[in-house]
Amino acid sequence: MSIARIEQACAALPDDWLRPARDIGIARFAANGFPSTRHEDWKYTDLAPVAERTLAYLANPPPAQPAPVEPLQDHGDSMRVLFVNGRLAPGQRLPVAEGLSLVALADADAAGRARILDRLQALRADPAADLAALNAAFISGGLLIEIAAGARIERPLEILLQADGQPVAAQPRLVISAGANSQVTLIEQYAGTGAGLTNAVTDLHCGPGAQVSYTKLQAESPDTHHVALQRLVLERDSRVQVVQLDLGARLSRNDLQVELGAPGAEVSIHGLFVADGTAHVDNHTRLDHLAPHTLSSEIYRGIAANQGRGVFNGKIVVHDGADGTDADLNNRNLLLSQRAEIDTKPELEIYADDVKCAHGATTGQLDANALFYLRSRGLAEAQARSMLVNAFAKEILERIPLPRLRETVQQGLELRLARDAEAPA
Amino acid sequence: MLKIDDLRVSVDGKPILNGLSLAVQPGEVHAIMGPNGSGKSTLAHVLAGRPGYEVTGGSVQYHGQDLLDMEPEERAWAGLFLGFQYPVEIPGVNNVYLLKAALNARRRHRGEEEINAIEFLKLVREKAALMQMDESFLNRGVNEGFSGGEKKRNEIFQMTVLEPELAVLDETDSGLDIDALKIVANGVNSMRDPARSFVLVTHYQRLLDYIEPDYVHVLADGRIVRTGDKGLAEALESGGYDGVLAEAANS
Ligand SMILES: Nc1ncnc2c1ncn2[C@@H]1O[C@H](COP(=O)(O)OP(=O)(O)OP(=O)(O)O)[C@@H](O)[C@H]1O
Ligand SMILES: [Mg+2]
Repeated sequence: MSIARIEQACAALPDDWLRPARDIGIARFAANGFPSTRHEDWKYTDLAPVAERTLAYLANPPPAQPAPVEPLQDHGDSMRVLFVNGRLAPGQRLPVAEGLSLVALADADAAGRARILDRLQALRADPAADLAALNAAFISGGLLIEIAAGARIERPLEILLQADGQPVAAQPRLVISAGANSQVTLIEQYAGTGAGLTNAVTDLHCGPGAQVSYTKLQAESPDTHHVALQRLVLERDSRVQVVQLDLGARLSRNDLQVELGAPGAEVSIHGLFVADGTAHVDNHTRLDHLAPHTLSSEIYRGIAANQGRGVFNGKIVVHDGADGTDADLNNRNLLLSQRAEIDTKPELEIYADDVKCAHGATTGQLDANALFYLRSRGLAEAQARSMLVNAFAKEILERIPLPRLRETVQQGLELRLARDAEAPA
Repeated sequence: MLKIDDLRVSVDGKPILNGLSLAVQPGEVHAIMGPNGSGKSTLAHVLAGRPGYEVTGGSVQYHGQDLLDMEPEERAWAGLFLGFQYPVEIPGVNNVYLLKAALNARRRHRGEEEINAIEFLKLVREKAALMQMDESFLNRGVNEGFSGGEKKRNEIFQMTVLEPELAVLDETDSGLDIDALKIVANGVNSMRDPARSFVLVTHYQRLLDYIEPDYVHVLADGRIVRTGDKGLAEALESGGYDGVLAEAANS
């Protein structure tokens, strides 16, 4: 990887207060480069194609001012913000709601800058953080979302991150802070066309007593490469419900990291990933229980069809002193063809006492008895299979907070798997 | 309508049905009785097209078509229904949603229009009332958490909605309490019709007190060894299989 070329590309970015942060990112990335399959956490996921694309796309940095876009359709059930190729699209009227502040990173005030810098510099010794450093090197056009203490944001905030088909490396960055006792529903959605690259970083900080619903829907085009780091920090008595859907892209890798930092913090995670065609989908989650009486529950469902390849790794670390932790992790996977594969590994590390931890993982095929039962009632085989796959995914899909989105996702899933069933395996 | 001729079936190389013949005409009710493991469920499964059975000889004609050549769903479209001895639990698939999909799949296949939502709801309510099933069962997962008896009742409920021409009911009476047995029998009797036939697999004569059979067959070692009328079931009830089988061997 040619660091000189990265530096050159970064130099083209606007000269704003973020420049020192970019330099830190460049330095870190220069030292470590892309995660290697020699690292245990990356052994199944080879980022060579991502590295290749990054380098190739440096020649085409997204224009500093992307073309203005059509105003978003307002469905009335949400507030919407649009990113194109990793940057906040200009010319849009950002939603306004009492207690909600949306500010381009470059325009942040002193307090906002401190918050952003803190996140940009929080790079732990972890290859996923090397990718975050690369993102930091190109930081520009990200968004700071702040919810005031005690504010209750009624309508969900949808952040749509679209690829417009140009061969570019999108490096979107969201820095989110939910103030004490605030309530908000956030939906981060990736979609678009072309063979781009997304290297996303989202930071979500939940103040004491905050209640946050956070959904990420990755539905990128089938030729996209998508890597993402999501870091959640939970303070005392805060509660976060995460819905994590990985449905698109040729290669996708998510690192979801949650710090339960103070007593009473509680996270629930519902994840679904689908690898069809020749897609490769890798989900790594890491939950750090750092304080007593913290709760986590995590349910992941994985589906692999055709020659799809899935990876799930769920790590739970109960740190010294985090007594009274309650953690529950369950992963079930469904293989729809002989050549599909899913590797799963739950990992527990416990250094505290009086801890309740349960974990389980299974991988299997569609229940042949159920399939025959449905067919005996007159459902064609394809319809019966699709019904069983939907039943499998349902537990996760019904957690999607926006009914309109739930429906779209479900229909999309049905279409995809129907197409996959037709494709010769 | 159904003609089984010298049917031979193996599972994992082990012969289970050894030259079974049976003919069912429209409007008839046939009861099949026989010791555990004699091959009754195997017959029911093979008729419905369950994978995993190897047909090594014989034939099955349904309305002149080669039944064994049809997919399970094609058999359903052609009017065949299997009431399972062990109905399958399918969490996440809603009971009425399945019924509607099943009904419409058959209608589409027959070139008929799909049933509209209001008509369907009316039909389902009417049949649920007939089977004295609480409507809460309709919106649960298919058989999910149902008791043994509730599952059987659900099978017959599905049958009354789907209105098959030939229903093969495998031990639908097992596990039913006395009231439920009457309800199930009533469900079956409500559907008796000169054009519709039933094959009832049962261990108990009691069911046949409620559903009058035209023929009673004894299946043993993968063959029909005796055929008679309702009196045969009574003889079995009092004398067990030993007597009847010995008599069959001597004749
Ligand atoms: N998948 C299988 N593998 C091996 N043996 C099988 C299989 N399915 C059925 N059998 C055997 O075939 C024989 C017939 O079984 P079947 O279920 O048809 O009996 P049945 O007459 O319905 O018995 P019951 O009255 O107990 O329901 C039994 O010996 C059974 O063990
Ligand atoms: Mg049986």
